[in-house]
Amino acid sequence: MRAVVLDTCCLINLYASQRLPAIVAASMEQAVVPKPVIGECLYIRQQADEGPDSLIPVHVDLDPLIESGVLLSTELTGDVELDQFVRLAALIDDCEAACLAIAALRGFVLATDDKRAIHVATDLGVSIVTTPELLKNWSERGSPKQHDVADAIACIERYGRFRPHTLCPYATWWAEQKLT
Amino acid sequence: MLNLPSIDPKRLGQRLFEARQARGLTQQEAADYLQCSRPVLIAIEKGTRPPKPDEIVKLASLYGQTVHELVRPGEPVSDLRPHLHAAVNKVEPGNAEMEQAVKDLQQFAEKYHELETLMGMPMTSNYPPEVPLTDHVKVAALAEDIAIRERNRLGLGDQPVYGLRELLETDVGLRIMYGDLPSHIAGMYAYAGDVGCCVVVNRRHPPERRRASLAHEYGHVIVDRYSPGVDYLTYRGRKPVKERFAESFGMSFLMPTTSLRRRFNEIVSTKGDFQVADLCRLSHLYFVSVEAMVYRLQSLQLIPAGTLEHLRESRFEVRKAKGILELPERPETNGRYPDRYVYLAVHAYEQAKISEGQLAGFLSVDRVTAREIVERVSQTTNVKDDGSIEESRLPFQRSLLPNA
Repeated sequence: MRAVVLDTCCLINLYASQRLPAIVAASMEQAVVPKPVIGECLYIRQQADEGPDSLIPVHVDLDPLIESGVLLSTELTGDVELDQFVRLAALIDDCEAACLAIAALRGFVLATDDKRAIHVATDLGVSIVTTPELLKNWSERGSPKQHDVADAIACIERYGRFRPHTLCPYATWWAEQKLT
Repeated sequence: MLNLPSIDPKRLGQRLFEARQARGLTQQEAADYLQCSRPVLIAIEKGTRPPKPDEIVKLASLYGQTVHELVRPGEPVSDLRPHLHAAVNKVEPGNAEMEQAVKDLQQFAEKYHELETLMGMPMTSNYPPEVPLTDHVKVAALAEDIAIRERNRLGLGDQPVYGLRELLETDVGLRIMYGDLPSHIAGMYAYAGDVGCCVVVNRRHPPERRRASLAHEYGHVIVDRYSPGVDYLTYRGRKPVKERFAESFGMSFLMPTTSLRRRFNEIVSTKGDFQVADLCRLSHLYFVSVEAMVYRLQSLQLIPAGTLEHLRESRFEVRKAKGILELPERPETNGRYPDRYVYLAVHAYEQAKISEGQLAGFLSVDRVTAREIVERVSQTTNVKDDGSIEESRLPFQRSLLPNA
């Protein structure tokens, strides 16, 4: 798959999986993250010391992933991108608008699980990939062990509080992985 | 192919003007930041010169707002801030926390209105009739009468009211947020035609105090609807007549004379006494502070004046007493935003009318917390036939009407 812009919601999911570099390596040429997404204060959940049911928020630290080249940080450049960004910001929030403007004008794929962003991206003719699809790609191309896939999914559900909608084409695959 | 919306320069100009003022910047300072002349900035704010995309991005960053907040569709709502600022500056000049609270209340009103417009569900208001106050009126007696009338109007009888915030929101149509106010401030309120009555109650206070503040603000809605105001825990000197009304009304509304007197008499006739433990139980039953209950019983001349001072001298501790009497904490919604607001935001998100980022913005939380809220709101817990517990997601958009 060509370069992929990671939307905030998808980025949180991949980060929560604890296998972001492997998933990125197996699924795309380059993972691109716009500056506004990096600037958004992101949190996932982490196991607390109090017990297995206790979770605490923990800050998402993207710096090591950017420094090691797993994620490529990018900015909106030029009048055309800025104009597209501002118009899109009327429909969705700034981070989503930045991702979509970059994907639309640079010919990248947009990774998002957000229904609203998917609607807008589809109308703009931007190709979409979702978290379940990226994980399926990784499971097929990256050759992880089966329990690794199951654990990645469990981590996304537990620490990212994400579960695909029942209408998602990969919802059944997602549920099956947890049972294996 | 999507036709991206064009941005109305007049609406954008108004938002830029309000954002600059809220940030406390002059036109010259903003113009210097943009590296343009002051007349150009004035033209942008008037909507006669549409700003370029890079100028919108720069101004958003200067004003501490997102670009979305500036360019989103929808008409701006009335600005509550100028009148509230005036009220705040009279009593708390230069208090940064109060300035922030004013901004928060404005933002709450705007976001609430935006969600209602988006979902086509405007707030139904059922405000009480206004009551004029004169200097010669017997405030306590009038407040008592109006409280009874309001209870009857809302179908409450004379029993304790528990979900007060929800009641005033759904049955009266007040917009109520719990905000961070300085600890000596109980609450604030403001009114505008398009957003109605907006109230902020200090969320740092205990639930009993928040309820008293809420009932007090409701009193203002009755006698003082169109004048924004700030309410203190205590006042120095003689209180204005409207304050005295709001205070008496709040107490009468939360602790109606008839039921309180009946319960007091029952205790006394059964036990032959009315003790501190009875006071604690009664305040727990009406979900008010012990202090408020003492004042109310004193005003009804059921206990002697000076009871509170006597309790203070004997170092009476309410928390300890509640523990000894095993009085449980009453459940009370203490979220920043009211339930209806949260439901509207979650439903808008479920229907793809807003994105996850917008949802997090509406709820003022991070993304994962927003996901947890969606989970909580849209899930239901069932007990299956075998006794096991099952959690399922509600299909919110399924119609329950025949042939719909």
